[in-house]
Amino acid sequence: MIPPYLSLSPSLLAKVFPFHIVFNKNREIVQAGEVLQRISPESLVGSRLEQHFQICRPRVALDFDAIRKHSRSLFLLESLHNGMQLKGQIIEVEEEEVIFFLGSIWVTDTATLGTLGVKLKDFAIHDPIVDFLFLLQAKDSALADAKHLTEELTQQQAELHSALQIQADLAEKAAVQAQKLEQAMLELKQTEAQLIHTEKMSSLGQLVAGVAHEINNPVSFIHGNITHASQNVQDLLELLQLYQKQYPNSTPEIQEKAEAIDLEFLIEDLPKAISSMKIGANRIREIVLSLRNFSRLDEAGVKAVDIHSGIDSTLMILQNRLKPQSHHLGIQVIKEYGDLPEVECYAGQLNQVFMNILTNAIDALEEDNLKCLATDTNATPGKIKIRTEVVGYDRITIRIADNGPGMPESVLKRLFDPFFTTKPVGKGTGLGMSISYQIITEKHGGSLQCISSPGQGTEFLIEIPVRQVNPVLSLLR
Amino acid sequence: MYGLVNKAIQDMVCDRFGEETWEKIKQTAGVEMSSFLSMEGYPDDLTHRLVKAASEVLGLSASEIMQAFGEYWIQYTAQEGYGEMMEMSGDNLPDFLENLDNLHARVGVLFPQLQPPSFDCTDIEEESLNLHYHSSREGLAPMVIGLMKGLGTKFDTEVEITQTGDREQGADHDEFLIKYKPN
Repeated sequence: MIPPYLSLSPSLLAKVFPFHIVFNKNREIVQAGEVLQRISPESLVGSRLEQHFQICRPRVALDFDAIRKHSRSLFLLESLHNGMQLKGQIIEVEEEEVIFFLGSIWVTDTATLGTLGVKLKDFAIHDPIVDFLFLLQAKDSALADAKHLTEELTQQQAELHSALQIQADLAEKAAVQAQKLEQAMLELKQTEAQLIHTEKMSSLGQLVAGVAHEINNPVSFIHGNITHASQNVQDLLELLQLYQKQYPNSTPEIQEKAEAIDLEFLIEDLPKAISSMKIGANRIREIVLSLRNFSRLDEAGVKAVDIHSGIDSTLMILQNRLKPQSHHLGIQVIKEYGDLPEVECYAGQLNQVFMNILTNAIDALEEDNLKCLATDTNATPGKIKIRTEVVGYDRITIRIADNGPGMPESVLKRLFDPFFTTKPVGKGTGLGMSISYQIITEKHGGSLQCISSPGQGTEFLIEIPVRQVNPVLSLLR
Repeated sequence: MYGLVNKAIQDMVCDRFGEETWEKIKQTAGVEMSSFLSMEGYPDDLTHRLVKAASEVLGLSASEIMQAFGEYWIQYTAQEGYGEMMEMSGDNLPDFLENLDNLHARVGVLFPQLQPPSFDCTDIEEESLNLHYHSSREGLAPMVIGLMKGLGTKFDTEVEITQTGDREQGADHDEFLIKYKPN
């Protein structure tokens, strides 16, 4: 490497270091950069260094010998007049016994330069302070951008939050509306079901009551007269026997007639026939009574009734479906009646509930029975168990359980929905259980539950209060 | 192109024609971003699309828009914090123009990705000079004309600009004859 052998002339050096200072052993400033001299409030050359500057860095006394030892240090001089800082380094020129301070103004913002009266062109081209100022400005711009973006983001976040809140509110409102709509739909269905049912039951009740009334009179004639007729027939037969005893040899014409009508059989059979007629008439009377009891058209309001008699009437009406028939073995009804007080209720409506539940139980048992016959397996005899009891002080329960096939969860869930049915088209309206539910819960302030699972049979649990509370009174209490 | 340029276009349109027009221009240009970062480099194509869209929306030629933008650029950079820097770059138009290349060279040194243009002054006379403009980008010569007008206003100097060399006409670079007369 060729050692340096060229140097700048003093004027060129002054050009590339417009802020330089040269001082001697007495710290007298013997030379200063042109720009530094221009911007300095007091003349520099000829005065002492400590009259204009203090050394901030390094920590060194303002002494020529002390300073010259710090040729590797970064020097920071501060003007005693205006606080201007100069950053640079010192170089001792031993032959001349002087120290050069080579550096430049140090600022951390552009505005300070303005106050010092310095222009960009005052700096040497190579001086990085200008680039540093550009960088500072770029940093400020970037910070301003970041601040602006943050504000924008904050505002957008607030708007988003507000929009989300509005959306959530709307969703909540929509959910409430949907719920209301669903409720209204359900109520509409129930009202529709109730209307259909009321209309149907009203016609059916009137028909049943009418038929019962019409049959009641002639049956009363038969029932009222049959005892007399039986006694009369008995008397006549006794008279005939007396005739036969007193006149064993009657005329050929009488004997011929006796043979023709098979008198011996007639004497034996007539009391039996009368007795059968009596039983039949009694049965008709019971059925008519049950029908009247069941329809209860005369008792539209709440009345204290014997619940058991209502259940029995319903069973009586369903008697033909409980008896063994060609396609099924018959259904055994097990009654476990408790000691119930008279219960205040809408008797006709409650009977309708018993009818619906019992009909469903019979349908299920018949269907189960048919399946067993079809698959040639041994059918279990169908059983319906009816148990009543008093619960607590003022409530009763009626449990109607069958040993049928039971219901899956999916059916159980919708059991009380209006128009829901598992029966074939035309066989079930899907209203029975829904109406029953309304009758028990709304009309009687009770509860109706169904406990069932496949293969485990089904049990309906009706719970109603013994006394019906006047709703107006209950509000006053 | 660095974001400051796009920001300046946005600012000029909003300032002169309103936010709605700017949104329309952005939509026409297919630009979705809501703001630009000053010191971030953006594709040149984005700036060109914005200028083209502004031309369509405002019914002005791209050249007219670029001239107006050049003029606006002087006041915009001053308000964006570069005022001190510009103040220190010269006391009059020729001084400033002589320093112009240094300003851009320093930007290029600090942010090489921004690829700033370069300027060169020749034939400097008392009331005229030749300004040579070199840029890696195309179509920005009208902006230089606007810049000169803006500087004329800044230094309260009457300026007459004539394009004497046009890159679009096959010249090596764009060249302008700047005549000035302080008021």
